[in-house]
Amino acid sequence: MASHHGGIDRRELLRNFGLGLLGTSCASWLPSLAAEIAQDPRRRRHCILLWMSGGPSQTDLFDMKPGHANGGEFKEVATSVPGLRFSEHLPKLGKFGDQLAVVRSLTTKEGDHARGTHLVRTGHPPAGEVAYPSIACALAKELEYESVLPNYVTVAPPRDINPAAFEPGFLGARYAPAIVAGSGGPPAPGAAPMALAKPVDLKMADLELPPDVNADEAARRLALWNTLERKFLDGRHANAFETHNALYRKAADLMTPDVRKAFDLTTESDKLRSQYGNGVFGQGCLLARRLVERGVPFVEVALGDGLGWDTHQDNFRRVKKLSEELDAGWATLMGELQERDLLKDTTILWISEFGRTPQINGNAGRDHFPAAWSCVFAGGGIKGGQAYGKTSADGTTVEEKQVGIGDVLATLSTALGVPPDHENVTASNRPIKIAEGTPIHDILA
Amino acid sequence: MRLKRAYFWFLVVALGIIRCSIAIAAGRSEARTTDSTLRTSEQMAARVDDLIAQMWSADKVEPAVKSADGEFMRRVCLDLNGVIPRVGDVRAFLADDNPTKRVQLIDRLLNSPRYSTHMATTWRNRILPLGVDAERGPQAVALQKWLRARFAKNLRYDNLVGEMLLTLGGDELGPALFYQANDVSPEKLATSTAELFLGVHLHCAQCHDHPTASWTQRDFWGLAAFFARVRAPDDRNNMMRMSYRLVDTNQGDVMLPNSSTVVSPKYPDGDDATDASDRTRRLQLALWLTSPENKFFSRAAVNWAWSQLFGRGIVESLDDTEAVNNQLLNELADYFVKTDFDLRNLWRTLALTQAYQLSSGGGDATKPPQDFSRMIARPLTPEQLYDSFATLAPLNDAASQPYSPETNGVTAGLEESSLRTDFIRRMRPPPGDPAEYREGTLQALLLMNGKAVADVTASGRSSLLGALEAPFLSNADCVQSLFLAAFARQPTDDEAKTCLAVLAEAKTPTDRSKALSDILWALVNSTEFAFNQ
Repeated sequence: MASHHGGIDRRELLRNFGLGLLGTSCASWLPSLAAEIAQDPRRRRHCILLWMSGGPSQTDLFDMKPGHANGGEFKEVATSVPGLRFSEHLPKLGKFGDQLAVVRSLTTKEGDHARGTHLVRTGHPPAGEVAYPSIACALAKELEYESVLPNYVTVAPPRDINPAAFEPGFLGARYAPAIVAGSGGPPAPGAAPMALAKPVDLKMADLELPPDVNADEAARRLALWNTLERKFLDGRHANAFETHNALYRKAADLMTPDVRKAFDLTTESDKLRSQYGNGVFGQGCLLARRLVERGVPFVEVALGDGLGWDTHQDNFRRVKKLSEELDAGWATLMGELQERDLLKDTTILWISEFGRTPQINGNAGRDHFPAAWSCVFAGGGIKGGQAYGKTSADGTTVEEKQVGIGDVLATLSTALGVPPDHENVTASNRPIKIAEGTPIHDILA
Repeated sequence: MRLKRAYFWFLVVALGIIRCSIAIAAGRSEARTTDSTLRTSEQMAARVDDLIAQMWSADKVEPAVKSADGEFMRRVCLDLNGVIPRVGDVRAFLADDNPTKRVQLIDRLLNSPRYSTHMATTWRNRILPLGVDAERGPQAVALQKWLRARFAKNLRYDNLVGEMLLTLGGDELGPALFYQANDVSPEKLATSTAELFLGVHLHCAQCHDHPTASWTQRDFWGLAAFFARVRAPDDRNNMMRMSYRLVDTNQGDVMLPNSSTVVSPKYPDGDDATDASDRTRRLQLALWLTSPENKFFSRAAVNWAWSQLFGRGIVESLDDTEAVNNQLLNELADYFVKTDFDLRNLWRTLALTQAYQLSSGGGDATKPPQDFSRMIARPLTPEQLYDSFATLAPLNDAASQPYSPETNGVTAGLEESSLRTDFIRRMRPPPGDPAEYREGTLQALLLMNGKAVADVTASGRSSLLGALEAPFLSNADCVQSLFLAAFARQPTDDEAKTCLAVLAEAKTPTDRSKALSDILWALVNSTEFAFNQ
């Protein structure tokens, strides 16, 4: 009854219970908890979301229209898979064509950045009675397992566009992502991130000590904290107290050198770092690989500072630069995951809030376009080497196999082994599915 | 279609009548003392304790001892004002040997501006689903201000609810967010109304009747029908604007799911309502809902208020009419009605009970205490936590100073302190049992290393630590001050010894400042600080 009210499912209950028991004598529960987790088939699944804020031009990337007036300046070139062709500015990614499934028939109804961002990231238009969680928070919750590392790490999310779309909503703040921001000097205005001489460093919020506290003092504080906590908890056997204390100890574990090392990109060679691209996106992809290696189930990396892909003017120069950044980061990530045999367990989704008009406007730009656009799946659970669906010769309408955003999110969920109709329950007892839509079975492995 | 002008004016007049009754209520409260059948809150509190003592003896339960003064003070300050007490007030209270000091404290808290701020925060969070704040910040602040003004003048609860349900929005910023957040959808409004003001989960009956449940599909859709004729003018400007407008129309119906069967308005567990030319459907609903005869309304209000002070309601489900604690609930609900829905008097009554003043310690704390025989410890809400930090040491944003005479936590415009808003958003726990700690490691990191705690505990920045630099204060004085400030109690000998050992290691004034900072950091991050016991 209480669990139904609380919006909490069985695994979560077990986990909370386990935490509540840390430090008490009922250790006999722990082995069965471990067994429960070990049997969980979703244990080793990972997801990497590549979020393209601003709305990239599908016509200049994955659904080109060579020979048509809408086609634009770029050439379409072959990938490693016969018949599957991308922009000439994605040459490295093209080598992984057999791992990629391009969905060319996505249709949505929101053409405003804030509303579109909410729709794509939660599966629902904004401003409803239910604060829907972002799909990333919802999936990370399902993929969670015991680890000192955060469950969902996001690199440079453009949250200001619509804060609610990046948040866990009714699931509560504990399912919020750990936010990583770039540091080491922002690029000069207008400078292309690829042109950075040195790779940027990435830092996780609140993992670092406050500026006026050094490591010795932090250790002294924790030791004192621990002594006083024991005195308080001694003789008080409330589960809620134990939960609080255990969480702090877990957070203190996060601050240990081992964990901070996971975020320390300077241990990678300069050559590899620049291969990923020196900007926040490239280094974010490198961090994604390091985190997936260490078991983090969900990592998100944003490309396009603010609304970078919002190319109303000067589309071709800007898309070329962004494509190069995308190509370097994403392709290197694919290669490194494959080398480590992690790609088969890692599902990647490349998506944005909408696409761009196939027509080219008077400023050599392209405008917002939700009617017919593309997203790309890759890796674990995905049948690569194909384009799914088809747009018309001018790119303005979907001609075959139209899908909605619910279908895309349900596909992602299914590829990760999470049933999309799994329900979380809101405070007012409303069951909410992970994703409302039909998985696209043709692209699922 | 727009409501005819005459209906509109009727609504205005009806609202006027409701508002006039405030004045009547004020008059009645004068008469209250002469009504020998109406108990004072002291007498009612004693009656509550009698009923609880009967439960204890029937169930052979041994109650906990009375709370210590400090434990009680921290609890009642958090419950009625949403912040821990200031260290000066703690010292004065502990030193006071007046036997009525607890009553005086309760009265002081109920008349503090912080009372209305805290109540408004609590109701704003109740009314708005998790996450609406993030999307509609200024509107949520407007709602908070609207609520706060009403709690400040102790508006009758029935009138408060009536005003919100009958709002037309527009220039009256705030209450229309109830409609907006529910998408002006009859189903969602019915669900929220039933939960907030009737205390029942009607929406389970939305799709079909359940054999075991007391509510039918007819009940659900009958309630939804009352909201079928209120509309937000369907233009994009209205949706985006601060001054969200609502209009009543004379058309619109709800139908059973997947059918074309129109459902007419029907009061839950009551009669059908007939459409009348002189009153809108939602006016009819508001009049029924807030009437003294509607037991759902008063029971829900009392059970919720009780849960705020005791960590759980008198009964778990208001649908359960067989619940053993129903007598206690019903007597309190009747008392609330007889006192003209006086909220301040209700809080006073509950806080005066001996049950509320029991200790949270003792007994087997792994099990929930039976029959309120011990206080349940509850984690501080994100707002209580942030405002308590600000009480310890003013943070860098004046807007969130809980005791500042200028603000009392209320800002002039519709902006709130972004530091506070950001902290609250990142700390908001998932829904669930209020007695459970429902945060995650990221929240613990935010508290250990984040800006709010760093500002409170940094030597050189924290005003609390600054005050401890005074030359005449011994180390023991400092440790005592820190414990009083954080926990409203003296350190135990053992705790004092541990902290004094830390201070004794400090060789220089700088080291001593750091050591004091470390002690405060450990206290602020402790389990004891995180809970209202």
